[in-house]
Amino acid sequence: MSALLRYTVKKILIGIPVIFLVTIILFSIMQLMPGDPIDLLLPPGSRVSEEKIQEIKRTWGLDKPLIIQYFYWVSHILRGDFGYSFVTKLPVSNLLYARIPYTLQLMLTSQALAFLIGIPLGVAAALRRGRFTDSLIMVGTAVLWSTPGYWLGLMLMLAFGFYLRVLPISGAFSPASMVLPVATLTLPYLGMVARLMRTEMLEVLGEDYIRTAWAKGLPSRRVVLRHALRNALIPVTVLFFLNLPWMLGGAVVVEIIFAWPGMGTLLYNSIVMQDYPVVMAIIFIIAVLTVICNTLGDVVSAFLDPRIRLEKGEY
Amino acid sequence: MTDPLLRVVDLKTYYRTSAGLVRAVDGVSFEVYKDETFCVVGESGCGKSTLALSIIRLVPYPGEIVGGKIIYRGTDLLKLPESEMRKIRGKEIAMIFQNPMNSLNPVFTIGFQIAEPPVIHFNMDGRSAWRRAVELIGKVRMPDPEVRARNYPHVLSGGMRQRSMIAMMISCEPKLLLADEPTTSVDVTVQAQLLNLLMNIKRERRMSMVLITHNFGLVAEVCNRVAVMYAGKIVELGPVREVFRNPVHPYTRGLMKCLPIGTKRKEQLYVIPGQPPNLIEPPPGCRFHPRCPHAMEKCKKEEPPLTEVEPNHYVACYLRR
Repeated sequence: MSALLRYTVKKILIGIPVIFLVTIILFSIMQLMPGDPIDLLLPPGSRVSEEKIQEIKRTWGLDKPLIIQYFYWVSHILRGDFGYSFVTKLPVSNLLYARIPYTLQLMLTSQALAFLIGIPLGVAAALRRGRFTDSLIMVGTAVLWSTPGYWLGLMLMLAFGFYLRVLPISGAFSPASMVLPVATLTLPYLGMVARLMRTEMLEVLGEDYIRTAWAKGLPSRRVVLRHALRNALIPVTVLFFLNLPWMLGGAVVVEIIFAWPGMGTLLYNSIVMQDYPVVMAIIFIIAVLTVICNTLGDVVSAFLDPRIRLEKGEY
Repeated sequence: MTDPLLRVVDLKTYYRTSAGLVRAVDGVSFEVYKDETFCVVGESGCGKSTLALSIIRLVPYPGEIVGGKIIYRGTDLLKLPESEMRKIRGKEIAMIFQNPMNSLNPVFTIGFQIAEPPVIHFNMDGRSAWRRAVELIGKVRMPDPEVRARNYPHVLSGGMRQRSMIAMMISCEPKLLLADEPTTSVDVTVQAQLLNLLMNIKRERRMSMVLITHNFGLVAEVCNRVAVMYAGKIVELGPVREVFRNPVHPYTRGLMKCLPIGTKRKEQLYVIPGQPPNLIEPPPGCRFHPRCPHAMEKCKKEEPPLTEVEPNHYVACYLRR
């Protein structure tokens, strides 16, 4: 286990500089952006003396060199202080705290459902390779996977919200409000998970060590669920983590369609209204989430696959 | 002689490929007696591995056993339901595979993999199965069995992995061991050690063994009887000494001539002319006739039956009559 611990620490140490790089890029973009923060702080059309402007600059630290401003900014965002929204004048962190739970709820439910349904479907298809069940699952998942999320969302709205009138089509007022957005996010993703699982399973079932397992006289349940699935799940589990940030991207579209009060709608509205502090904060969060998920993916795959734990030359 | 432990009668295993029907094993019959080492020799692709896999009914898709009998201690294995066959595999008949690099599951320790068969076949509890695994690892002469048992396959060398494989397959004391080229994919220096280990274990545990190899030299060292396979059929079968002293089939003679023993320096090694035939459409008559230096008209039309030329020495060739 010590090898696994060392591997984990190594991966985290690699992740930290990446996050710092992200902050540098974000800070540079902010500097390049047109407009002066002073103009945004003052009410439009107001006339203010030069001394007053200098005084404001001093209070906000805008007279300091860029490098100092950068460190000042980083020390604030590390404490969760992302500044104030240009539009609402509220602290960005307050806006985020109100939105993040909604997005997580949507993302994690869809992610969990896609894997919980996709994995058994993929295994079932692999075990019945070439037969009717397999073809059915393969065609079904191909259709799901190739469906664009926004179109699927609209169609679901039309079917269940307009014609059948059984489910709410927007907002987040009751648990039923979650059904359509979650379905829109889950269905295409589920298709991908099932297909990947089938491919991995078929590959593993053809391996020599599976033949060995049969030759030992193990019951088929043990060969499939223990010897084969344990190996086939490795890439699928890694995908689980690598795709979490990607899921957030999908969530933006789905949240807008269903008027879901999450980070996605916030991001969209902020871009439209040029509310840069909010946009920056959300991009920073997505970047950090990506780094964390990649690190988690690496660590989990090392946990599942003893071959990865090795460092070079450690045989 | 007593009743054979294993009797294979007219076994046919075909692969239904898109290119056509591959007759990998096409009417093979032989017996394996108690305590005996029975060798099957032949070139790559002559059906020897398929033959071994057929005995434990693990022929890979699209292969299928289409005919014959495999009688093990009085029961025809081909008639058993899969659930009964599972109780034979690993417990009565075990198999060692050619490639130790891929034949062990990468995500389980070798101790776990060796302990698995006794847990399944004898309902042994995990703790005693693990102790037994450690014992077996010592038995196959790996140093520090306690440590090795906790190793994953990828940290072991090819030789070590093949030792683990042997430990795994003898863990339930099978009566018959099928060894498919067990030493081919390890270093030459390790080959002899592995073979000695295998033969010692076989003797100690009074197992019978079917050894599949393409190495005629190996046959001479360890076998009691040998079957020479060519294009899915046995062409010569007999006691090792007899076959070595008096090889009858031109193919057997060719194989012997290929051995580098007695070849002088700078002298070309002998090769049998031509290629092994395509098993989708094997040549009519005797399958060896296109490469045979003694082929007669009759050989091109009729297939020579396996006949006894001397006591217990069978040959499928028209030459000796």
